Amino acid sequence: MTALLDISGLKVDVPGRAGTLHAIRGIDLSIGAGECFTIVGESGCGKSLTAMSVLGLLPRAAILSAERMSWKGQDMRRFSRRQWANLHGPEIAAIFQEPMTALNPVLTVGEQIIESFVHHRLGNRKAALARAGELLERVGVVPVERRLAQYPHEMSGGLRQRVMIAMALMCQPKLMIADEPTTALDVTTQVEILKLLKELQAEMGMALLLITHDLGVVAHMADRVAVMYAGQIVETGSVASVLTRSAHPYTSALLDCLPTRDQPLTPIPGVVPALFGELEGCMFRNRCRFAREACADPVPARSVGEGHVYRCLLEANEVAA
Amino acid sequence: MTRLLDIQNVSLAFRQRTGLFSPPNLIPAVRSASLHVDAGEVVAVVGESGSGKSTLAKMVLRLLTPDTGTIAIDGKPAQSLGPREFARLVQPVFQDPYSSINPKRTLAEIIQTPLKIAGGVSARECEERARDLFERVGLPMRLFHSYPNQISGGQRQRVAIARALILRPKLLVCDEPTSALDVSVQAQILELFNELKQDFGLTYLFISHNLAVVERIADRIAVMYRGEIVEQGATDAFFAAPTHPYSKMLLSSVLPPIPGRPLPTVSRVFELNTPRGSQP
Amino acid sequence: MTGLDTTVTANRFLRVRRGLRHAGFVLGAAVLLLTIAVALLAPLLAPHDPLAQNLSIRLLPPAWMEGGRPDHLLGTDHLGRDYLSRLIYGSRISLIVGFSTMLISGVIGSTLGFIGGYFGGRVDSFVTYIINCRLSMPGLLVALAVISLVGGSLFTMIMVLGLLFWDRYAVVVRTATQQIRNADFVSAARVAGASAPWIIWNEIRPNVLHHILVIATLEMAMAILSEASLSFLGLGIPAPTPSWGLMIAEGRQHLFAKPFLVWIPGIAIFILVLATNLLGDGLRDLSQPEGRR
Repeated sequence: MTALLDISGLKVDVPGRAGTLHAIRGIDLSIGAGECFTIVGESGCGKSLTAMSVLGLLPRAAILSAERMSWKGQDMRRFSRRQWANLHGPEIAAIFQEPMTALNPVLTVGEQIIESFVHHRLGNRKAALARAGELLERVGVVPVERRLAQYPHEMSGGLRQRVMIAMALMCQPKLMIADEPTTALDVTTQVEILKLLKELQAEMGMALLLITHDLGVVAHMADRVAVMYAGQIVETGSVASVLTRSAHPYTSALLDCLPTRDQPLTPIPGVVPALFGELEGCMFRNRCRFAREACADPVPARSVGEGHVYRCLLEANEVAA
Repeated sequence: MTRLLDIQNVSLAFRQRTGLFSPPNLIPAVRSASLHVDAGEVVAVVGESGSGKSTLAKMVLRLLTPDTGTIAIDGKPAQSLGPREFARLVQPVFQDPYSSINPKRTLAEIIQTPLKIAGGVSARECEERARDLFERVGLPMRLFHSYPNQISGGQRQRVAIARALILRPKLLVCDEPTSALDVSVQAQILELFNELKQDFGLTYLFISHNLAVVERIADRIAVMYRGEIVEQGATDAFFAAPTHPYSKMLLSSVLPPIPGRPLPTVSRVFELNTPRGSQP
Repeated sequence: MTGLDTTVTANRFLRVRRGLRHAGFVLGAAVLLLTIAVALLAPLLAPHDPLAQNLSIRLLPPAWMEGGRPDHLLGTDHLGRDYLSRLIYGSRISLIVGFSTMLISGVIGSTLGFIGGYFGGRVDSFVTYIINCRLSMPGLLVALAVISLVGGSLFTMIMVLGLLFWDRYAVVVRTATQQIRNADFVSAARVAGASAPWIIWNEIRPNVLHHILVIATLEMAMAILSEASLSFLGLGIPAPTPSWGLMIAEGRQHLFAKPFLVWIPGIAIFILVLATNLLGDGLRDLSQPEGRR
């Protein structure tokens, strides 16, 4: 598998009045063509900032550093503004949690959807509108003619998200980044949108980087998953392996948080730590029932095999027991 | 068992003004809904956005007045209760933790608000009771005099819960209280609701769009679709065999964290006015 | 999570520090405070009686100009009154008019805005109608007409300006209230049995206060200017009382021969109005990032 996106040792620091926030603290990830990779974690774990780093859309104050960060073998760290602009659309496209804020309220859906297509000179207005029509039809925003003339506020949340997807697909991206695309939606609508994403991914041979806090979504969508906590990937591997044989206490704690009929809810005690100052050792140790003294020292990554890696002192089978 | 909340054939339509002189458009939000909640029970109303579940909750809270039908609380018509009498029976917990507490007030002030409005309690006792609840809902005491912008979404929701409890109400109306929260925080808040139910002898009307959330805490479930309650029944029976197609779809939309399963098929063509399901 | 207590105090500290770093805010506040101090201490600061005439030394230039005298630092006017003393006493008029007008119009405008914004519907239509009526009147012209009818005095001027210039408060407070009245914390207070005035005062007012403060400073500047204009036209403060507008009016006859008679009070008005505006802008800048979230 040739990696489209290959990142190692990614760090993002955000200097602020209260000190420097170490939002992302050295993560490695690679996404192959046509693959669905998910990042899962709680708010504040750095999953959205990771997406923004890949898109080159970090807030101005943020400082990015990485040992390697490449897109199809090109070094993204040296990208000029122009190169980033050329990347957005034909190479990487993104959809976000709240489609209402991502869409311009005073332009019709049609105007917005063809914008990137025309901008990248993939065709004239007519060709763009034809393609937009095809895509809207495909994502189920019908009747196309009427929808193209509508404004975002005239549509429901589910429809707006479909419009966003169609818009992202206009230039046939190789990778789509979806940052919590269904969090603001009803469960029924969520299933429809996820289904659509999955079908489109297969049809267009596109890779999908899906960011979510819902392990249920991960299980149904992903090939591989990375569990993020406090700016680090604490466990990664194939979905089947990570969800059924979770080796990190945080992953298994997240699984226990999901309401199920048969078992009582076991919430994770405490809150996510603030990522300021010197951060040593496992950041989950203050909430972990397996915590011991050695957890305060740097924790090495360990492998379970088949690419399943976790960052904990426990043996791989100890958490489940 | 006493019937704490009794909703009988309640309907409400929103009036949409189209012009100065043209008659308003009527958009039905809730259509002839009947539902009751016994003391000590947890009843969940589940449906998607636009199904009328929040409108129903707002009518129970008297924030909206039904066009037709009656709502009785503790045996008395809700509209006949004085504002203070009502406040001691019913209190709300809302969805958005950022909008549900006043950003310009300290947490201590926010929690005491209903007690201050009710009056008749000394300032000292007010604060005493607020402190007790502050700890009871799991907030660290050092945050007592903080402002909302210093705490997280989950903590804000705990503040909202403490405020709802300070008058010792019998019925808590929770409108999607966890849907804006992370799963891990959601689990904490759901657990808190469970504990408080025992400690305070509470009854819940719990609104949600996610069946997975209410599964563990609800005794009975009512499913709303397009303004109607299309099915209601005991939780166990409901999960074992939902009858209405929309209920089945809601149930299949819950995604368990088990890899290797395909996404469920959902299609939304239902006939309305199908059998009402099992009335307990 | 460990040091939240210290961050609470640190936040407050940082807010004060941020205020002190905002140049416009600091400058505006300093000038305004200085003017207030001067106005309060006028009897101690003024070297002469501002009303005492001495025709033998009329139209003296300021001390640093040729023919100036050190005991009349800013010279004298056409009746030989000490210009510095008149300037110092004149600040009292400007500030009294500024503050009183701001208070009266603030109370009227905010009350209307709260009522219209909170109740909505017909009540709001009525409030909007009143605001529109006010907006369709040329403010200063109406003030001119009324004062020329009733006769100018400090009291009538304050009342007329106060009763006229409440429109901006009403418009802004109404819009801000509309945004907040749908917040869940307002619903929670309603369920708790709170009355409308209680909710407006305890839940909505704190969230609108920074808007009101910003407008208040701008309206104060506006009132100071209006007082100067009216006095200049001879419709404001009656003659012997020192007012900056009146001083310009009286100096106008000697504009070519003794331009300082117009320059000095003109600069004073300019500085005070600029300072109030700077303060208002500063308040707006400082209040924005705080609060939400």
